Amino acid sequence: MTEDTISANLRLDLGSIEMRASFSVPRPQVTCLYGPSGSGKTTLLRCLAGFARAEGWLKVGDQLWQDHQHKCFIPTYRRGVGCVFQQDTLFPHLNVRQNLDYAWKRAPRSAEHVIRPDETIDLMGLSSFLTRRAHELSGGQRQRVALARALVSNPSLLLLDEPLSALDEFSKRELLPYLEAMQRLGSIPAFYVTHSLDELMRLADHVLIFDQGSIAYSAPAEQAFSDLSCPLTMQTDTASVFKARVGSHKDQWGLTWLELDWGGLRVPRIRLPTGSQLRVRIRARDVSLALQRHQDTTILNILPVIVAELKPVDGSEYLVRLQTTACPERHFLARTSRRSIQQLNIQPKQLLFAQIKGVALLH
Amino acid sequence: MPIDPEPFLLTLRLAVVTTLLLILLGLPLAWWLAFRAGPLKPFIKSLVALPLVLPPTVLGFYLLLVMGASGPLGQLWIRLTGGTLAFTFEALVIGSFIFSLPFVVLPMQSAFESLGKSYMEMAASLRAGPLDRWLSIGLPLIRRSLMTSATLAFAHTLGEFGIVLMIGGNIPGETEVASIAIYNHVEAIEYTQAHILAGFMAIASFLLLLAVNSLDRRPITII
Repeated sequence: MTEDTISANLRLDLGSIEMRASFSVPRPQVTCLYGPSGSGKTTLLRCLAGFARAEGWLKVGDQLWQDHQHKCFIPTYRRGVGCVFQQDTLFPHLNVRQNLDYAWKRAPRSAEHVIRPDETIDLMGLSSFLTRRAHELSGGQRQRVALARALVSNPSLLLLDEPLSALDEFSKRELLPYLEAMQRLGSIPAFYVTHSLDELMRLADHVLIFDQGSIAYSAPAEQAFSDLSCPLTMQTDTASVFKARVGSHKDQWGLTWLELDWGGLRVPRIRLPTGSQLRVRIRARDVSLALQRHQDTTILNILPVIVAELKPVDGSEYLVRLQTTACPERHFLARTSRRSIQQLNIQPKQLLFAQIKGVALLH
Repeated sequence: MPIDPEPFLLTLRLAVVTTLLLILLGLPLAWWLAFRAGPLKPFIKSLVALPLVLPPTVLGFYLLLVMGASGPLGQLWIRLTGGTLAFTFEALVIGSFIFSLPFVVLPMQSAFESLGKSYMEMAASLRAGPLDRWLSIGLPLIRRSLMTSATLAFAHTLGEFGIVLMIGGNIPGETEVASIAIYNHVEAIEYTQAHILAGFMAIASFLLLLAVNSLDRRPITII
């Protein structure tokens, strides 16, 4: 049985640096490539698309897309990669409808996951500007069309290179729900290049962090955001991210009970129906620690946790990795002062109570 | 006083054949120069641009040497067809092709460069094969530059003199194009014939440019 993964070992000399990417990620997922500009993220995307020819090999599921040693290279037009880049993606001589039809005409019909142009017109809200051309659209509209067109082409892989970066704040916020909708649409694996921690938290199932041309870190998102060896957790606004499900609504209190695989969280009443999937973000700063479970507190979420690891940051503070008692693989972070750590004498393996002051919903 | 239409028709035939050849071979060359040439680029580009600066007689002289019965191309031609190459219509086509090459290749190269590869890559990502990409995306996007270059090449071929004189000689019905016929008429002090032929050329050229310039005025965002 072959594993359902996308794996690669690719090298490409870029003059100033060499891109070296060796990874294996689960296939039907969103893999986010994160890192400073010029670190090789876009180059990797271009190699995955077949636009650039790297040395090494690339395998998508059980298909070999390239193998330098055996002179195998599937050209772009036989790979089926839906691309949404920063700009210049819509054909300027065709209108929106014709852009979609361009993809639809060439899309294989036999695959299990056929998405018709009309479906994407509804999904991405394109019906009011179907006869316009690219230069008559706003940046946000253009990216929605590009996204729709990529979906219509029935791709085996979606490649998104900072699709939001050319947009203003308003259009960004407008487009994000569409990206999330696309993600929920199902099983199309995607690679998503971003600079933005917010996009990373909202969209990533798997995180690849680039540094100077190579992959410095690779892990599932839920692990990455709570891993003290991950470069992400060294930022001041560190937060852990988890997938959650709407469990029940407690209308007399105006609260909603969210179910996670390591416990439950109470949040102010949300409008999603029971069973909806969403993501929650817990900031390390919003988690405080106590030796006992306090009854006399206004904090809604207090959970028993085990101290897994302590790491000093910025001299005066510590990041504490906390293991949830319900699920030993799930961790989240607390950021606390060195003084408190010493006064409470917090040690690894100690049982504590985490008081979670705030939970942000990402969907 | 009969006017012989032969030089004019010959000129037209030469211009049509040359322009078609220029598009067929010049476009891929321009694409190659824009994206693939690498370190060879300045060398090839200078070679292509040479007819712009060289006197046509110099170019014609060298072409005559190459295409003559003892020149390499001339000998190859004899082996392939049995006949000589110099002073034939085919020689005129080769000469005009080289003479007008920069008028197609240089503007198309910069058109390709400003167009960039991204649209063609997008088309490939949407499963369009190489020929499909060219017909559905490449050509429509550069059609304006292409039209301009083709017109320039066509008009340039209509008007050339030095090169056709050098490699074509002056054979009526075979290589006597309009510009040479006009020269012959003037030499023979047949001013009326020269007037008619010259006026015809001027009007035809102007109408051609007018047609192209009025044909496509739709605004397009690029190129």
